Amino acid sequence: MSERLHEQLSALLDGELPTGEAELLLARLQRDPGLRATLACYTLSGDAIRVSSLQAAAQVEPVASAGFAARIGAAIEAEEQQQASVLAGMNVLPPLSAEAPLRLAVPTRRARRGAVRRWLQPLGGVAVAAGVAGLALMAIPYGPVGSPGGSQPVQVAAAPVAAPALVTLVEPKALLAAASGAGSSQLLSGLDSAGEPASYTTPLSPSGPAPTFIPAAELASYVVAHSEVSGPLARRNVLTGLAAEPVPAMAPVNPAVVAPAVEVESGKP
Amino acid sequence: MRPRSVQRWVLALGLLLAGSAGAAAQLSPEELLERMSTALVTRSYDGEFLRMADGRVDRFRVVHRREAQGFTERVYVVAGPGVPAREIIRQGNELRRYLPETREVVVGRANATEGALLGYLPLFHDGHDQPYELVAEGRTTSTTGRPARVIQVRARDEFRLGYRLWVDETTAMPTRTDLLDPDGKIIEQLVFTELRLRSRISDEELQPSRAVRGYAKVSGGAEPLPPGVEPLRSGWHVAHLPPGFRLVRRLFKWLPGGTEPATHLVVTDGVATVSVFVERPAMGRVPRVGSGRIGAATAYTTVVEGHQVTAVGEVPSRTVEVIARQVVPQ
Repeated sequence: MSERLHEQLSALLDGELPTGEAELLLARLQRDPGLRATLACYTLSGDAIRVSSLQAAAQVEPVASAGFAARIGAAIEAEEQQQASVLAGMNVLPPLSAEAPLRLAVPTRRARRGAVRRWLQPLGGVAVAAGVAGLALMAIPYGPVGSPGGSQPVQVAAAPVAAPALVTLVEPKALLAAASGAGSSQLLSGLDSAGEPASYTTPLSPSGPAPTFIPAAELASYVVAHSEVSGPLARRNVLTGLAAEPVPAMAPVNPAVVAPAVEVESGKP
Repeated sequence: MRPRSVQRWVLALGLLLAGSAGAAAQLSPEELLERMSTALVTRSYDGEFLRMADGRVDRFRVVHRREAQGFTERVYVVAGPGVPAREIIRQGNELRRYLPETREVVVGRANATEGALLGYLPLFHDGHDQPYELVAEGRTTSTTGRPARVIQVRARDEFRLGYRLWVDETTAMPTRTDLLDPDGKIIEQLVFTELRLRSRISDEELQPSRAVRGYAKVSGGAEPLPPGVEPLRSGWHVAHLPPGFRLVRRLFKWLPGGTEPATHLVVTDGVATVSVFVERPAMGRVPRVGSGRIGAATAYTTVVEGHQVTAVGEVPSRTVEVIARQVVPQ
């Protein structure tokens, strides 16, 4: 990506890009997935990737893996060759800044390289475990919505049903908490006694109940029903989230084994 | 009218205009957000925005028409001429989702009894006992190229999300919305690159694009209650709500696949809203415990005394879990 494009993105987010140029940039965004990924990356992380926030992020963010970080580093190095789409393909955000700046200047390449190096440092223990869990989830292939077993509780590692929702839509920290029965009850009892938030970094218990994911079509129905009562500000987030949801790969649906909610979505009134 | 009187009127009008223009910069965050809430439900507008979340950017267009009874709104992904893309049209109590991947339009209807229920106007209050803190973060030029004030709505605990809002100084419309997790990290951004207030919007502009017209209609619920079916008892409530949340409404709601309306409890902290659905399990439907997320909306479902209880809201995932697990029959 050229410095010129950096400046344009920066100016767009600062509201300083002339209308004509903004139109061209938006048109380019529309047809260039690599550019979209890069913009998402820049706008969400800004230029303020700091060690402190990175350490905080490493506690909870599902992005900690040396191999993954190295790939990000490689992606940044190879940016001139438009390889930023590596990030998009992985569906993972870089660690975010705790103090997002008002002026979202696009970082220089040097600053970003430095940020990646700093980001590599605080990895360890729970963070790495969470990262591995997160990456394992992302590796699950997209599957058909409402495929056989859609209404059955399923293991994470073998969950093709809600995979589209799962890949980008479920927070691994919630998974970790849900996967551990002890962690969940701890969370609630902690709330009841002191009203203080319990820790998110509950260790994964191998003996805990398997987490289940609400099938995507059923989840969408709940979200639509909820959108009727959410406020006008939040409703925009909720509805655009529905429209932007990754499109699941379609496969033939066997009506005999599909949950009722899915049948409705598939054509039966 | 005498010339002198006309002069006075002109002077008065000039002062009024100057006053209102200057006032936007002087308003407290609370007043400005109140003005924004009003603008969101009283204005007609169209515009284009980028949604950035989950490592992707989508370009959207919105057409919003204020009507005597609520509004009609069309939101769609901009995908180029003739290319079918997802589209959502809300008209009165009906919400239609156009899905190119299945060539279907899923139609959902609110219950007739819900009538004019069109969502809760967010109430932004500042104060130490309030769940949110309002912070004025100065003036800037928004992505629409106009002066805007930046207000952060900061969550005081981990049960809710915060916002950073760019509010247009003249129209009070939000031109950029950053959704923040409880740590203040950005999880989703809606950035308007164009936003126009409109006095008149034609019906044609609220029609789905040609590329998605003619899709097969699929019902998304809200069928009339079959004769002889007793409605689910409504005595469900949430034993302990997270701080700042209160139960504001009990409704009945038809959900797809349901054989009867579900109980719909509405919980809010003034800004965020959580819906709790209580369903008697339908035949052949396996009770489950699980979670999910679509964009800013998280969901948690569990089983309480043989009923499927699902909480959905634009809140952190643990909030819906805590609320769902606290639902009990009376």
